[in-house]
Amino acid sequence: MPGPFSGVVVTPLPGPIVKRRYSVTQDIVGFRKCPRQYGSVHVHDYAPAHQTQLYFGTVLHQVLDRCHGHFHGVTDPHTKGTLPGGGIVVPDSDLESYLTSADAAFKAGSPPPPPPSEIVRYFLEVENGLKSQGIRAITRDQRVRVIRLLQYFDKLEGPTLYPRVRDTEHRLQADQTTHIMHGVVDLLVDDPNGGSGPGDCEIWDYKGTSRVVMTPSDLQTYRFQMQVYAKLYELKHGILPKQVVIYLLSELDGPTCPTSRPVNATLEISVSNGLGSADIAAAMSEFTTTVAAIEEARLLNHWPAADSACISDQDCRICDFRWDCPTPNGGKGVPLRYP
Amino acid sequence: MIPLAGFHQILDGASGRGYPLNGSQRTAVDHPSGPLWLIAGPGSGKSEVLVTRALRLLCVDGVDPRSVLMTTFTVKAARNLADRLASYMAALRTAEPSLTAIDVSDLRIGTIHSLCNDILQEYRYPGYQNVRLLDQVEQHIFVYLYSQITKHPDVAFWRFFDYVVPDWRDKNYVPSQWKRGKAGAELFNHIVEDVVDIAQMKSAGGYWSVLAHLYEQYVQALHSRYRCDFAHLQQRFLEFLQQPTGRQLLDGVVGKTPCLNYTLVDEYQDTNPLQERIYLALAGRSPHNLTVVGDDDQALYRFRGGTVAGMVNFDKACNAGFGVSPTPVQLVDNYRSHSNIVGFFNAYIDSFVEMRRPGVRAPGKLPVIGKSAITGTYPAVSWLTRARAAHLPDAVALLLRDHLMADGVISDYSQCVLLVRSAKDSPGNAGPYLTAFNARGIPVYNPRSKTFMEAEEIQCLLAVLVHTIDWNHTFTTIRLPNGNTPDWVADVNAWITALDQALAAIPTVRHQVDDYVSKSNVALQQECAAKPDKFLDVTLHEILFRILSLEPFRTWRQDPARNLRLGKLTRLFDSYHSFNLDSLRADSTGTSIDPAFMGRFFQTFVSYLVDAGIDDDEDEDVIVPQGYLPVMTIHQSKGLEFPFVIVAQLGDKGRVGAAQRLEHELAPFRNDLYPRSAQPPADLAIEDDIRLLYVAYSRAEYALILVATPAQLKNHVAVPSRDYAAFRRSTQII
Ligand code: SF4
Repeated sequence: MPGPFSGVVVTPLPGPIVKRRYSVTQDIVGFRKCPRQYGSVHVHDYAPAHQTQLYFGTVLHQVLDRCHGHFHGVTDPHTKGTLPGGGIVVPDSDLESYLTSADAAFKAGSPPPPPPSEIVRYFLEVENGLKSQGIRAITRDQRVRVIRLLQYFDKLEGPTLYPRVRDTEHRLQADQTTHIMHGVVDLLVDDPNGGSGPGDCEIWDYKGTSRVVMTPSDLQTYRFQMQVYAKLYELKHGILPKQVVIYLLSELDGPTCPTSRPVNATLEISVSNGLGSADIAAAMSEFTTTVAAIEEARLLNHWPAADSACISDQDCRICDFRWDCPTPNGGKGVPLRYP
Repeated sequence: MIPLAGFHQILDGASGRGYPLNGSQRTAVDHPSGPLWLIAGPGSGKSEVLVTRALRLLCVDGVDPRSVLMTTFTVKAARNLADRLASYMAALRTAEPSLTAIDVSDLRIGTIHSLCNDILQEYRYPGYQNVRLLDQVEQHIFVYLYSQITKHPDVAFWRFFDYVVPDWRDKNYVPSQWKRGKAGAELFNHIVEDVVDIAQMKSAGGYWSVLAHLYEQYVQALHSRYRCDFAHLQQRFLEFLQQPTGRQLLDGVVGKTPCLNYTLVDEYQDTNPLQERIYLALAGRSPHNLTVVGDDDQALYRFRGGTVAGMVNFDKACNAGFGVSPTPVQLVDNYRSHSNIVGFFNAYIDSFVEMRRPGVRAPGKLPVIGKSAITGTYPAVSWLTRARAAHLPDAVALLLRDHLMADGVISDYSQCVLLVRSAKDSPGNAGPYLTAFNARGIPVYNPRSKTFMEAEEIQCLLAVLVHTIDWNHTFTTIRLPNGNTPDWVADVNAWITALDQALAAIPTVRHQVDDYVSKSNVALQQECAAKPDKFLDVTLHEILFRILSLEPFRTWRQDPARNLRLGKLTRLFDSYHSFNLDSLRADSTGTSIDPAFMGRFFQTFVSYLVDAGIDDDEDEDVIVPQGYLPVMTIHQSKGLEFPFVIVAQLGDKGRVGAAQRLEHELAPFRNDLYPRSAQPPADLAIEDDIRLLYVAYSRAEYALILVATPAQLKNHVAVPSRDYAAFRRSTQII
């Protein structure tokens, strides 16, 4: 006997095709680093216990953003033209004792004592904001290290870099055939020898890491990322930037503030070494392939671990999902820790 | 910029949405200025209109994207709007390269909470500096730890507010501290979001005055501990808008930022009175470009503080706030459902005397008109019935398997949905359906089949954690101040039994858990001995991830519903971690874990899980895996659509809950912008029930199937006018 709906055939209703937006850093770079970790955190919403990396990167970015605002007098016109660190570097021991007293004040419910520099003040503001998202430093050393790097950067680069900054947190978004790609570049900086047109501009991007811990695959992905940013910039402004600079902040670390920029601190890409049209097209196509891979992983709910050649042991060492992962340690996995 | 006609032409084309807007949609998009009151029936393309209107402002009127703020109810919906905006902007840009300079990513878009937080941070608002924003779970923990209301011992006070206390069994005794804490948080949130005049509440005397004082203590505690909850976040934002810094946002700063000129609000039927004020304040500048979109008939979130009154009375709000009337536009063309389904839900919502009272529905509400491409003479609205309720689940299973699937009507079970009031796997809820589907070989996706704490994987994970850190099971010796054993002890024991049973069923993996626990116990004892009275450099949250790497949890993580719950447990531990309470510590003798740490973990966190109950996420992204039949609550189905919608558990009634009572009880203290009709709580509960089923019915594209016995449908709001006889005569039985 035919059923009550015999003859009906369900076909999808026509409707607009809405493209999904993908963030260059969180989605594409995150998935390229490790699909398994990306799927657990960004798709299945596991809350990581190890937030160190996120903490480190976010504090650096947000405090530096405030430093630029400080120099340009964005919130307070009185700070215009001044360095937030005042050109001094507060020693680690003083930072430690300040953080101890600030923590004690917080515990007691009283306001923290006046900070030794504006950088420290911005650091505390940012840190508090991050706590509201559950992101915090694991140890006191990490906090001191972040402030140290910020002070070094401010002292070393601030006087020449801050006056050149054209825009911070510059948003870029561009349509691709299957998706929308979006990203936020840390800085747009005037080319020292150029005018004020969009072509006389550099893109700067901060990374909290150092050269030595990066795998070749990380390095390649960062290059792609910068080439993609250059393309998104071109799509928005009609012209490519002069160059793209990746600044590896951890290269500044050491007992004293460097007096000149360490050779490995920057990675510069210009037309002669990567901003040619073929290079850019290759990077765009590479990221588009990654987007297709993310969509497929979603569809199949399959999130494989990174290949051991592609991910650094340092990344795996702070991954919450490492205990049953075949990848770390050159494919041998890590022994379970007790408890 | 481009002319309006050209703008529409591009978006109508294949690279845009692919079809033209209808007359009223166009009217709404083209509305020149001033408040716009967009009442949009189900399936009428309201988000489409909102997005197109925003793009018109940017591309035709040349409005700076930073002058536009767009908000909606959930993170998921906000993401969807942003995706759509970007997609259409891309189409416009391709057709008109002159639009390249417009950057839609500068437009402020998000939930009201995220926008308030971002803007207050961006403007460094002094009232919101250095504070930690508490999510819902953290607010509960905060109230528990620092608010006097959790310690308030007067049983008469609690009886007065018993409707906000979840599952309070013996009313001769005060509710547990957690129940008091959760009830307290609900009361405090309502006080803020309903814009209650605290002075007036105090002067009312009695328990109201006690509540007002307890609220003030809570506010003080938030302040002194640099915390802020979601309700106060919105309150601070409203304050900010009235300050000089807030004026910078609204009026702009010459040479730097443009003024905020356009506010567009989606899902306006679920806003609360405080949000209503925020939106009016955002659009305070003439000509008050505030666009609100929603459907009063689909208001579902009273239990989260939303009130349909905002949508119904938008004209009164505009007159009170701006001194002008909004332009009303109704979107009535439905492109989703077969016209018989539309006819059915139109007649349904219109038929109740409760819905015809003034102030319940938007004035002049028009019926929805069926414009879907789906046609045909099959029974688009049908009734699946049996004489006995026990026979219904199998009848549904057979319909799905032997007709819809076998006849090739559907190609995948995910083209259907079973909508229920409660998706729990228990006899009074969806349980019989789940059993029937299982017996007939229909795979089911039902992330809410268990209450969170009943789920096997959650109980087992917690049991392993307890074994790991509390090897002597000291939790069994914890006593309440009155000497009694806390209720949660029995629950923890039950988790341990559940773990034993689960491992007994898969003996091949038992050794993994046993091995982990015994080695961890030894390691922890050694650590304690090495570091008496010190932290042990490991958190509960970290231990949780190690346990998750063992079987059976590894395998369970492959199951979509279990994986969702396990992820949620890590988020709960993250919230506990945010109070800095989850780092393990040795006792002073170095022989075991610090009893104070252990006591806090069990008394605060475990008792919270057990006693306060973990609410389902309202914002979850329902991604139905292919091949599975989704079973979901009607609330979960909001905003979704399915070819075949089967609605079961008809005949059940929604009960009067805290939300309806509070809406009524707080009325005398509320600072209303305009007079609101006050319905008794029982009537509000009926209205909510009618709206709930309206949402369920309007999800269907091809067919709506009502599942109930005749007895269940008699006098029930599931049928229009509660007129069973008419329903029976006019509906095809399958
Ligand atoms: S351990 Fe490394 S490879 Fe494995 S999930 Fe984590 S990041 Fe990925």
